[in-house]
Amino acid sequence: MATYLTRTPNSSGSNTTWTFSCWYKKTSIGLDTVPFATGYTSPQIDEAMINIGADDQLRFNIAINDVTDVTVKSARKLRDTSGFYHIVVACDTTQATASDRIKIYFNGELETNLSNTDYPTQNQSTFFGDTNKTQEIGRQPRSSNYLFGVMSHVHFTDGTAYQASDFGQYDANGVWKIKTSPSVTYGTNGFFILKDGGSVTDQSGNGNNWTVSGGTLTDTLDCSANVFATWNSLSGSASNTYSNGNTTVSYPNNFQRNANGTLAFNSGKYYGEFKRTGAANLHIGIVGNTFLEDGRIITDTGESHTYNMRGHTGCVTLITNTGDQSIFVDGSDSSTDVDFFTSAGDIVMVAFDADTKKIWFGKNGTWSSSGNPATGANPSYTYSGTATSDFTFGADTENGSSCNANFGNGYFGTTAVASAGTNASGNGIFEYDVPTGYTALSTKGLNL
Amino acid sequence: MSKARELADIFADANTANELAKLDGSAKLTDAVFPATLPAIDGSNLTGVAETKPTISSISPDTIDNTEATITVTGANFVSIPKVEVLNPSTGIWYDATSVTFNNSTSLTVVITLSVDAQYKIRIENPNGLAVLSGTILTVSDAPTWVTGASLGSFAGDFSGTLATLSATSDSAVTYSETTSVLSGANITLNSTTGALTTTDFGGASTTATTYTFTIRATDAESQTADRTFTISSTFGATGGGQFN
Repeated sequence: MATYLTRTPNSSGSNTTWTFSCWYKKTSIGLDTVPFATGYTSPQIDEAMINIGADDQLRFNIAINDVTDVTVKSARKLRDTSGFYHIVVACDTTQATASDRIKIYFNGELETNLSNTDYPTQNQSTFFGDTNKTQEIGRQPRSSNYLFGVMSHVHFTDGTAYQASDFGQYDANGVWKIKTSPSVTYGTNGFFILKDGGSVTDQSGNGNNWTVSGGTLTDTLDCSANVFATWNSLSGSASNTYSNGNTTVSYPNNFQRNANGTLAFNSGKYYGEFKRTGAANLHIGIVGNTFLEDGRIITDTGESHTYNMRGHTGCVTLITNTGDQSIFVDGSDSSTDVDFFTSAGDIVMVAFDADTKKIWFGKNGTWSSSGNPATGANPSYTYSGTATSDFTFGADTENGSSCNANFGNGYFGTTAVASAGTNASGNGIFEYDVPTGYTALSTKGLNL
Repeated sequence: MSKARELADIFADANTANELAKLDGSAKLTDAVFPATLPAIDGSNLTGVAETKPTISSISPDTIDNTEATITVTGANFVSIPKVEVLNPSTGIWYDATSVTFNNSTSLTVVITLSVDAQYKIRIENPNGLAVLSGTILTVSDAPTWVTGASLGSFAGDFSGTLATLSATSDSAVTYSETTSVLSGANITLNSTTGALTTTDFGGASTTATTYTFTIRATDAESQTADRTFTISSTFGATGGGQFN
């Protein structure tokens, strides 16, 4: 079961007027996800929710006795899985004008292109002020529609309809940015959770704490101000299974399937850690433009290395195996080995200097062949192949093996790093020491 | 006329013994022509009678508000302890000083409360009855009062636009100035006329959340001032979130 949060109000709040604001990073498209909902099943099924449907459009719904009564739906499709959306839904059913009763904002902009405009009637109850209904974040009540992904700075104001500009503002570059301490009145059932981490303890001062249910909710450094790379569910093999905020990828069958990062770089020095679970032959390395631009990677279903890192141009990859330690380059065995074999549970370290095209592999805190990425000494391989730009980390999995990537958010799957190493860049949390001059692959790291 | 009668008449028209004048209005007599020792009524010598009026050269401050104020009066010939009054010429109402401290013959410290905004004259009368009335030398008006609260809130780093508009009120036009040297470091510009705090890149090169504390002085047309210390914070976004697994 996936993770969701619950809370049942003890006191009545406003059923007509409220605001929900959150920063949300999706992990997939075409999946019904539910940022915020409330409802009950007895004496009849009444519920209200903000959800992003399988059509990737955000809507506000009210169902009465299990019959949809209200639907205000944005025409915009939310299909970005590499960044955060700022979503604000403001409700005030006391307004005389129907279109003023529900307002949807994306990244600061009031959405005016709506595909459904079945607004609530004036003064209609939205159920969010009821004491006998359990509110949920991340799941639609009585359904299997969850959330997945990352949420940050989740606000609910009870009794006041705010605008997006109360929770964010434009910077000098026209970028919509978060207000980390908005000046809002939370009201009786208002709350502020997931502030800078995975805490569901209310930060509004109301003490309206939430409960984690279903699965695990983990801290992540991934947030709107510093977006970390994850496996890209849109550009890797469609046959892969992604989980844990797209930091884990697996493939059940033979012949590896590729996954690659959501962020790419043309220069600079980046470090990542990758833990294999399950079967062998996980490949870990770097892919570049000549690999990523081959659209066959996504749709390939054949059992061939042609479309994965091991057999495709534009990559440098290490096979992780107890009996093989080869580095494959641009689709062929380079005849260069690292000095270690790899078992399930080992953490493979990868450091890549995009300026010199040197790559270092290491295991469990030790670089192969006394390599030293900080000084540039003894790289595992110096790449001079077809890829010249758009480098990012990549992985191939097969036969049920999984790759838990720590791009710097401090976790392998749902397990936090045991003991964080040093990191002079100050960006990211890793198990082992980040070589001096290297940093995490994140938006902050790209600008260091 | 006896000699004593003549001298008495002469004294009646003189401020000091050194300003003795003839009854017919001709030139005053000086030490050179008038002896320091005057003849006695009976013909013997009299001791000179030398009384001196106080004078006022300046006061500080010369502008106060309606609250109790302490004023230093500088002048000459003050005699401990003079009576000090102020006059509102437009109403003719006199106000007594709350207290007067005789510092020395050239300096008095006067405490007074004047509830009516106006231009005032000051009168100082020594115990011997000699007095001086100044011209309009003291201004009473309202000092600026801050309207804007001390906390200006938080703004996104790199924000461009108006952060806040500071406001202070007075009975005359108010201008604004910084008494600290913080705003430039935050890349904030203060409009001295409007009080607007604007920026094209809040925080400048800073990339970390910072609280800037600075003091702005509001000054009115009478040069009365009011200082207020403000804080404004830059934010550089969230630092994490919760991952739903």
